Amino acid sequence: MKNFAHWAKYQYKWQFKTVLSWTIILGLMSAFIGWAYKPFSESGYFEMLNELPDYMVKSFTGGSEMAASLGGFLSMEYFSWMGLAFAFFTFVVGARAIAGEIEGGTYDPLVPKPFSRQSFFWGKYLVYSTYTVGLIMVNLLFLGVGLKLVGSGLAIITWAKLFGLTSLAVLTFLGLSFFLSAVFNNSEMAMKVAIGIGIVQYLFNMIANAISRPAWAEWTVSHHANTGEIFNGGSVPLGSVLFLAALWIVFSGAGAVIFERKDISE
Amino acid sequence: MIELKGLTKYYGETRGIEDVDLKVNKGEIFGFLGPNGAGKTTTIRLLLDLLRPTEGRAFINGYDCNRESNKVKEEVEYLPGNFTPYGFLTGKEYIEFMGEFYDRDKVQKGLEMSEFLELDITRKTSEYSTGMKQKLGIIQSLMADTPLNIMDEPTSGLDPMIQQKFYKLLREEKNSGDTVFLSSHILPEVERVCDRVGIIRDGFLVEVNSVENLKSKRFKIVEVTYESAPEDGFFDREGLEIIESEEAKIKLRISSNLDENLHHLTSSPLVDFDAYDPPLEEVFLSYYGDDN
Repeated sequence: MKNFAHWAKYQYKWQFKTVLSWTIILGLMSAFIGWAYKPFSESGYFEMLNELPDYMVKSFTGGSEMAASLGGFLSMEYFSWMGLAFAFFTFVVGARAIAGEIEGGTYDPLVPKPFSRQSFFWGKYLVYSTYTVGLIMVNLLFLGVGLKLVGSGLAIITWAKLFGLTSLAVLTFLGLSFFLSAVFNNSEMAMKVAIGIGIVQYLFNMIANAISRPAWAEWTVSHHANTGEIFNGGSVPLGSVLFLAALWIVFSGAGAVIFERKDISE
Repeated sequence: MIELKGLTKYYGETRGIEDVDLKVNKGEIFGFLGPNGAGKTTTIRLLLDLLRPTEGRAFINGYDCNRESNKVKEEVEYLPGNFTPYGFLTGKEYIEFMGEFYDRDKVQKGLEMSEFLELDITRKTSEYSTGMKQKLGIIQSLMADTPLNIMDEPTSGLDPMIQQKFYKLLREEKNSGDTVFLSSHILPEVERVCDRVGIIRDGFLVEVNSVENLKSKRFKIVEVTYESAPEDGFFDREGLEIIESEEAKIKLRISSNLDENLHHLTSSPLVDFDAYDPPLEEVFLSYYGDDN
């Protein structure tokens, strides 16, 4: 436990600057999106949105009834784009977390140190998970600040629900990235596959909606990360929470098992 | 300290090592020799549980390297062949990070060793030369005071002066009763510091012997340039074998009767003369011909 804490402490310290950079850049983007709501809504944005094909409106905003509202705007302009950015963050840092250490040769000197492969894996995982959740929390705060500037603040409870669901979905991607990082000894390959899976499931979600087969989309993370309902005062869908939590646990656990059992060649 | 019992590792169809039996005693410096790809690194990685054996078992201080790897970690330290520290840390920060896995005393020992090995620990390790990285690798490996130290090509990139200091550190390890398992293909280094050696070739352990015995089997390479090419039959002598010949310039191997053969070779007028230890590859070839 002492060595796990030692490892995690150093990981927090070492990754801080990287995460801070991401947090500031994405935070400023979010603040801008929040601020842009009012100018957008006054410049014919919603009319333009309603001219889009139904499946796009449905896919991006949760439905035409949602489109002409703050919820629709945020679903389209914030959660679509920032969701991708959060996922990209996890793909980049997660895919390099394990494979990067192996291919870079920095893992080898750690091998005889008195802590296990599991400690190495979960120490990194703990650090990246908390940083990811922190990144999302700060980002939503930036969004809230942006919205507050134009007098359209989110209710705290809505904010908390958005934060919870978004965090869970992004952590699922982090689990996927760690899993791939444990499978491959090459971080670039792990990252490419992670990004590929992310894009494929996103497109699959869109296509399923486009051809009116929403049930198919239920197998994607994007579908369950849908925040549209929450803006209408709805609760966080339990099915989505369970689906995302299950994926998160399976990916993370499988990654840890594979890393424990694999041969680590030079 | 180390015991290998029928240790075998295959990468798919490709043999890494096969049926290796070996015992390394407590308190000895054991040299593990072999050309690149012979199986040295595979053996080391099996000992460290980085690879899992196809068959057989490896033990360190009685603990199974695979099944009891966490206990093994308390017994062993390791210098990888291509040691790479975190580039964003200074040498001092790296020593502190590695030493704190144990306690502050180890950090202090590491800092003292950095002075002894003349390593600038204020610089980022990404700015280090190969030799500087190697010094840091030696420090992180030796500062932990574990009963066993596994070192893969430890003097690679070190200048001769620092090599001497490293040998001194090795002697201190030995004097304090610790064991060193040292992989190398630099024969003079192995001769100098090792008590016994094991030679691995194509995945098979072909020889385990004391350095004295290994020395007795050694030969010299001699390059001589004569004023004119010697007459036919000049080199037909016991223990003398021509490796290359280009008119009056001859490269030979002297495997026995060193004194007599040297006198004979210098009995004809010379333009140039050079004698040196053979590379390990040539020793292998002489000991274990391709048919073996």
